[in-house]
Amino acid sequence: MALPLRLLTYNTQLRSWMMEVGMPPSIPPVDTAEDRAKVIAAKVLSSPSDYDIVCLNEVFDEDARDILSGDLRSKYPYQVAKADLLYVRLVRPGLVHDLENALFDLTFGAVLDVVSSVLAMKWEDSGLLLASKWPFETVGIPPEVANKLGPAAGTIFPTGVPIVSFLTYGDCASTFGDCRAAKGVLHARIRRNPFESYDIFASHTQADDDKVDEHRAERDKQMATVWEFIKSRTGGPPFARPTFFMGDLNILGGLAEDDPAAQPAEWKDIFNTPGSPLSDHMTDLWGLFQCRGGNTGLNDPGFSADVKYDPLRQRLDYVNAAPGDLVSQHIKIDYDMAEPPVPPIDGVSYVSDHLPLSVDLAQQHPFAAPPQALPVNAVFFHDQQRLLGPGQTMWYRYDQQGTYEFRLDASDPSVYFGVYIGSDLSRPRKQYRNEFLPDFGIRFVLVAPFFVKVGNHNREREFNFRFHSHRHEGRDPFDPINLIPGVPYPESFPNAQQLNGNSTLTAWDDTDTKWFLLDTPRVTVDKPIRLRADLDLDGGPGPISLLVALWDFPNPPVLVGETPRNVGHHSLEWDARPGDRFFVCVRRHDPAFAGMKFTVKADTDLTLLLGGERGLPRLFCTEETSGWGADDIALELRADAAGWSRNISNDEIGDFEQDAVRDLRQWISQSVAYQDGFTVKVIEEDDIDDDDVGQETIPRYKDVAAWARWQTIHTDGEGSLEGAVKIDVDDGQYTFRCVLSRWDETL
Amino acid sequence: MGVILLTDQHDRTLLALKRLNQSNLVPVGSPAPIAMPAGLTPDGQGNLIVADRVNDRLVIRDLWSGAWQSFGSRGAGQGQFFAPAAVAADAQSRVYVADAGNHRVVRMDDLSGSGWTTFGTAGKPTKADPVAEGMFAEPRGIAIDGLGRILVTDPGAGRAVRFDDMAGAGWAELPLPFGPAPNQPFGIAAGGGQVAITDVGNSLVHVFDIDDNLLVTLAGAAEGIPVPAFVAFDDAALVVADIVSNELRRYLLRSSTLVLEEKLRGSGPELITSLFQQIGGIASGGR
Repeated sequence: MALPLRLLTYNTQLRSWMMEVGMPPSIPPVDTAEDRAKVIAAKVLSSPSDYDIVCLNEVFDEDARDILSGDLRSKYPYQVAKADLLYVRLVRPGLVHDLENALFDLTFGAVLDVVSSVLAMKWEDSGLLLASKWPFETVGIPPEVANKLGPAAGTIFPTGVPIVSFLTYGDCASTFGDCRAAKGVLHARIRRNPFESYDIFASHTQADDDKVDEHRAERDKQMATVWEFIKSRTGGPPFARPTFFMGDLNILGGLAEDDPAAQPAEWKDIFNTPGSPLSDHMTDLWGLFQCRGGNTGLNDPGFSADVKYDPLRQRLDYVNAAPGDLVSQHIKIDYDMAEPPVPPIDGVSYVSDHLPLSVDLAQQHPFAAPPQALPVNAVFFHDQQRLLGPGQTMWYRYDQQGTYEFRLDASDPSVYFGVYIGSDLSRPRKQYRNEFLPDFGIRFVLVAPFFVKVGNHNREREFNFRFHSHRHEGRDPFDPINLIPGVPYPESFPNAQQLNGNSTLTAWDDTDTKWFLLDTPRVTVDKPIRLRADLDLDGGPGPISLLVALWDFPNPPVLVGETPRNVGHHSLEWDARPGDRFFVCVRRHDPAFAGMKFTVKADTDLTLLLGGERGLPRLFCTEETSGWGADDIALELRADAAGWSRNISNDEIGDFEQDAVRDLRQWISQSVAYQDGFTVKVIEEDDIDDDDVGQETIPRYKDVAAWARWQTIHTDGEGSLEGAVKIDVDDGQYTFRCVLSRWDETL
Repeated sequence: MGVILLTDQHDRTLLALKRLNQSNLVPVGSPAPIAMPAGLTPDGQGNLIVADRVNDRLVIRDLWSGAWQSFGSRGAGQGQFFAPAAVAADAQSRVYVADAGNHRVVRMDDLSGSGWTTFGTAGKPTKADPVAEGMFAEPRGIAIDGLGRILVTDPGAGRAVRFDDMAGAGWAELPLPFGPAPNQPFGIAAGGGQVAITDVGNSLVHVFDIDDNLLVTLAGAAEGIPVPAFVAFDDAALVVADIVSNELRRYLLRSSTLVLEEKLRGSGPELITSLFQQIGGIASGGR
């Protein structure tokens, strides 16, 4: 049985001093590589994901490379620490050695000869670093190689030549950009045990500068080179072992079942078109396996990078696989790894401009991955006892939104569960306000489709578990369906059947009532929160009414308002305080109990700027101000509600150069509520002249889409709006990237 | 052909070489006790003076005995510096410092700090004051010409200036040609009746005669040296250091043209071990 495997690919943005100097230059440049290298190494080593093989891009800075390679060595003793035009740096216990690529070409065969044509152009290596827990497989030393190495051959290659080789791309664009780095593709065959080995291909391909597809021609040639290299080094297809091709491929990623006209052309041609080798013989684990989009309900776009041109967020980082007997149980963005240290170190308020991509694989087994999830429709679901092998997961799929309790009974605390919505497979949803029902479990309020992942942290032992779920039906006041503002809830009354009797909880007769709950967030605001509930009956007016009651448990509910029957559209608006809880009741007044279908929806005038990893607030330098040196930036953030503010000094956030991005999570760790506006002030400090200041005030949720300074990047099933606010500062421009919502399940 | 001296900020070393040939590259007292070695100059008294930008001081190497000493501390007063960027020496071995963070030029009669004199205040040309005499945004390069005049580059103010003495007499802005991007004069050197200035904003190197006549301009981008940050005169040759291509190049001035004589890359695929990684400054070491 194939053992579980965890892979990480991460563009670390550890550019060298001379890359960061830029043109026009900033001398000395903003140099955070060493500090960030320490952070990245620490996070990889301590990650609960326990990665087995790590592939990094943009490790250009030599000091940062030394830190990464050195710090990772305790857990990842086998490395290709550098891959350059003429040599690679191999690391294994007791040896760090730079070896000519010619040695590997002699052993495994040369694929392309580009050295002479590009030698003078290259100022930097490929930026690739591969680190593995397990050694590289070896082959016997060919006589030509032994002759080249002389007596040192036995020391350098005691067990033979490692199956490692690097090929520089012959094609590139951008004279002072990509072409100056020896970008290429690295291969390593990793031997885990006598029965299992893996072929890993890692690369960082040609980037675009100002628009999508700008340098597609060069990338096409690079991808063709990759395929020739893969065939050369594997002897396949078919592949004799699990084969992976990963890295920052700089191709705007799509989802397989999205409207073909909307799929990015380059991605489609390479990864989703029969006849293309990477489409026929390998699988883009995100867009072609886990999140195929379309009507699958799995449409997380997988954004891994911020860019300055449209679209402003892109999926550029990939793991492609011919996985053999392995299945990709979960491919996700590792947001924890991307979180900058708190407090910041020397103004290092970010880790990288890319997000890390994580893949968890195991032997194929039932319901192993989201697209293979077990569908659950029942109100009460009690699964049979199941067995989870080492490192395995099992997924359940729910296609009905609502309020749920989940309970997991397992034979070991290593077994855990997480809940994900189809538009976000990376960040699990959180328990609803710490609510819990002893009989049923932990409460969640969810849009559909959503997926429950049960996993086994232990990668060596198997355990039993039983999973239970309960869905609220709104049958009584203690079984209400929580309303997420902005999300419609289609529900019904059964035909020829009374739904329920009088609960006696309320002062009015609530016979035949469907119960919903609307909570206002527990935030601090200056004004009452305006709430609204709407009810529409399918087929026009009928004997139905909408009631709203304030419930201050254990006191009985107090009626706030009720709509008359037999109207086309029912609507109630009222003022609320933070933390108020309201019943929203739909009552049928038909003695014949004719079946009815209706839709109820709530709304609020409160806006939440999501914090932490859910909101991922960032400041991005779209256009650096002219003039000497980097921009010395300070930031002021203000929400109108109850004086929430953050003043972030330049020492804390650091200087900005073109395309720099800084993570603001440490200052916006929780969602921030506002009712009128959220002000962002970007200050470019100047110790000679007056500071240059740019300021924008983000309007409320309902007004933001029409606001000229806002650009929507993405929306999700919960109604969250991810977008960018353009802020002009002197002759430059910054964008404040954030997520606005009316919903945070923890508040 | 004389000696070229350079600082490597990455490895914190001082290096010397006679020809741009890696076999001629020798360290000058390695490792150097300098956190961030920037501009450097010999003082004509057997000392090599290096600006240490991070530790806000000058570090001095006695080339005869090999001993190290330092002078200065952080601040804006006497005997103090803030991110000093470059140093120069005149015919009397007086030391001049481009004290970038303090927006001034400092002169000392010797390495004990005697005769401490400063000139300059924070500022740059504005519409109201286009001359901004005596003002510096961030002086980054300094040189003394054959007439003893003090030349300073101030990329933050977009200009290079010259003045006759530490009172600022004869203040003048050097006539740099305008490029497509804002001028950012950075490196500067004087020798053999000529002055060379690098404009890193436009990837250009200009050579003037002592009367401010432009003799030649080198277009760095076309030459594959996009950020020519530092220059030095070596006899009749001009040595240019580019901090992005990480190269040293020696040019000869022939008939209003700069002809490349030789070049040396500090790193690159053909060098497993880099010779230098981040040039912080160059200077002529004489013969």
